[in-house]
Amino acid sequence: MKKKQFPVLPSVCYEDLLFKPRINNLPEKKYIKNSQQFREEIRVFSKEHILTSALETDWRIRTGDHDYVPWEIIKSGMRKGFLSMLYPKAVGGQGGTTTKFAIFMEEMSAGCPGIANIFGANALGAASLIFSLNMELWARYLVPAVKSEKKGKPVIFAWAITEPSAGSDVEYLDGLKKGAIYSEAKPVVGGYRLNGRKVFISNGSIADYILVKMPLNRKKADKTWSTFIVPSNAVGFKVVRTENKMGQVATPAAEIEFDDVFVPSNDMIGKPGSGFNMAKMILAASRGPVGAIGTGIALGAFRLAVAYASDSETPLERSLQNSAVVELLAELFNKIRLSRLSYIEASSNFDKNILPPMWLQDSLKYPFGGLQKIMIGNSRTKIKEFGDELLEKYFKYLISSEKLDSQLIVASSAKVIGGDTAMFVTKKILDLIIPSSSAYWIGAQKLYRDAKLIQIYEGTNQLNKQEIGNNLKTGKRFYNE
Amino acid sequence: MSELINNIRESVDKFRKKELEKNCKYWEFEERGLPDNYIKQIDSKLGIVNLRALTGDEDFLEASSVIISLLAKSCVSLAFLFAQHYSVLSTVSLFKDNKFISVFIPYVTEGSVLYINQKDRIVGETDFLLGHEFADIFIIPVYDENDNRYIITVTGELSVEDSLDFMPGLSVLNFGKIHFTTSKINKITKFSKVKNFEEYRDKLYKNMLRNQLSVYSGILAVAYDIIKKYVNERKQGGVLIVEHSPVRNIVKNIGYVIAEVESTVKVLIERPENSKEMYFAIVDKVEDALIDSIQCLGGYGYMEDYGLEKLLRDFRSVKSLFTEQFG
Repeated sequence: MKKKQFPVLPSVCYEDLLFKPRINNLPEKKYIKNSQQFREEIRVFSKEHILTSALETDWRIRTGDHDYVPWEIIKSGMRKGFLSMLYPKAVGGQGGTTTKFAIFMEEMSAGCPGIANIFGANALGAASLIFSLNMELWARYLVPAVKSEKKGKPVIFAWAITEPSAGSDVEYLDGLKKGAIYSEAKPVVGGYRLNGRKVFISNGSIADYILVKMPLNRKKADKTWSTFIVPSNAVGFKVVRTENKMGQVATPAAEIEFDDVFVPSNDMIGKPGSGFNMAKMILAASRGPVGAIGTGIALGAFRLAVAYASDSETPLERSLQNSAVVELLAELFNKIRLSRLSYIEASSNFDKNILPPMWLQDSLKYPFGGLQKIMIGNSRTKIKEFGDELLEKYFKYLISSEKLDSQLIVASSAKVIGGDTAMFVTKKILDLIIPSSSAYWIGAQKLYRDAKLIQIYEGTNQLNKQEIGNNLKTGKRFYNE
Repeated sequence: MSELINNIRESVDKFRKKELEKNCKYWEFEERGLPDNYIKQIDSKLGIVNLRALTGDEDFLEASSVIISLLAKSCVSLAFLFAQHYSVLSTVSLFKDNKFISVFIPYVTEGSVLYINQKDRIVGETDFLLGHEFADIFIIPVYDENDNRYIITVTGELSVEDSLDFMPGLSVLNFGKIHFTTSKINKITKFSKVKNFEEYRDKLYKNMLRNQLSVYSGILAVAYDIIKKYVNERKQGGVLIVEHSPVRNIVKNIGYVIAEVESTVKVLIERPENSKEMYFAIVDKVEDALIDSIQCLGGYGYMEDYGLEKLLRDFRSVKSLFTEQFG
């Protein structure tokens, strides 16, 4: 009898999608213990300052006091160094990792993602400076920002990238190539003249400095995309309006205009045209913490649901007495856990493989850290040039394009999972809680409105999925054995 | 569709485009409320409050679903009020005059049960009622002291306490509890002693669910129009947004869900006994379609200017009011 021939199953190594096996990147025991302690600290802060005012802040802004900013909470956060959490130790900051920051965002967002994101958007703005590796810029912007924070005066940063006709376009190379980019930074003697509008800029109306992306030539936006530092009191800079959003209203989202704003050459970050790599690095860092915001929203809603279901005044059908409710809570708990693991993985991956490690170390322990301190004390144009050179070399030799792409995949994945989890969990919890004037209901409907934004900012979930999928499609990172 | 229903459709649609379209946004974001006596103003123009008198029994359900769906295209709050009103009209046929009815459907909980004493005084307060300010009559299920159950109608100056301002949507309507001990009640009519209270509640609830689906079909139709216009005019990556397959899929899916909701309403007019099953089979799809529709507009979908976020908020409020999965 003829032996039947069976086709052999293809052996495809999907693990190679990531440049290191994920198991190696899981946090160590000591790290987990420390992060639990840190999470507890933030939870206490949230209990004292955010849970007490989140609903009022939301209500106030939505019903007319449109420009209200919860400065008191921001100042309380500043006393804990929340604005400078990610700033290098060399400039006086905490030198926090993105993982630490993501945990911070999760726990803060469980209270109010709108308030949390004032700190988040600040970090996003400052990230361009932090990643610039430019000690001259650090000396001029980050050192005073930290000093100011310690004195109780906030210095806020914002990142401006989205344009009225180009949302997702500005977040990937092909989009920049073909998208409708209308802003432009024309080179002039001694610097650049910036023209154009940016929209949905978180912190845009309250920032002291805007880190704005513009092309030097709008027809070659992909090749000339560059980053500029614009102080909010610059001549020609204007806040056109702040948006009326469905949720996360505590973080103002502004439309801003640059009308022939002059920026000196020294205030360009990196070399001309280096903006895309920098943007990619920022997104690779920030999408993990955005996933954490989503996780936090889900966590906040989950806490409300558990409290509601345990409340003696809750109808039996909607309480823990009903096994359908218990099962629902278990399902939501699982989703939140997965979402948390996902962003922790993405963020710790960034910290271990992408984030320049030098400022994470104690500057006195390592000679290079000490060198930074000396250089900051002697800021000169030369140092700026050295920094720009260093950044270029850093991208060229230390962060391969493959590394960055792989990080973007996990970060995008964490962002999508976080956004979808937030939406799913808040939706289910709103179905559970009967509408009333209780904190359970008011809090849950607020978090539902807040959750939707996670699926939109930092690239829509659709764009993020495309990014993940395209890497799979081209087969760049997996192979047939 | 009969000529009568076509005529009703045309006149309501004309009114909607002429009056509601421009005003609803203003009421939502500037005034935060519908004008006083607005239902009476509508009725003087369209005569749709006593709809059964206009259509007769045969066309009543179809006409009511057409009206609710059309109103929802411009003002979900109004559509919701008419959905309540028509639910009562289709549950009990006693109402023959032009009274606008607000209905109280208690949740399954014991806490929301009302009592009526020997002197015909009502004891207790309702759960939250929406749009009570427009009601001429309230229809309320109560118990008497011997635990007999009645459906009563109440008119008078009913005092509203514990107003709720925190609904995500429907914010042009007031949302409050009627407190009977402090109300000046003109008249209580016991029009029905109900042997099987659950049966009454169930019938009313099923009518409400069908009418809610009509509200949703209106909401989805508007969302569909908004996103179709946007994705066919704006570009991303140098090509029209609609050319991107994830967006195209979202648009297509909303089209499917609209068709599903509309046919569900039609089926339920014939087979009301299946309301609960069919409603809960589709309501999450409606919500997901609306959540996805916002994605098509990116950041603009989340801002008030394009109206999509308001549709989601309004939808969510309607859904929350009658969710009984845990009942």
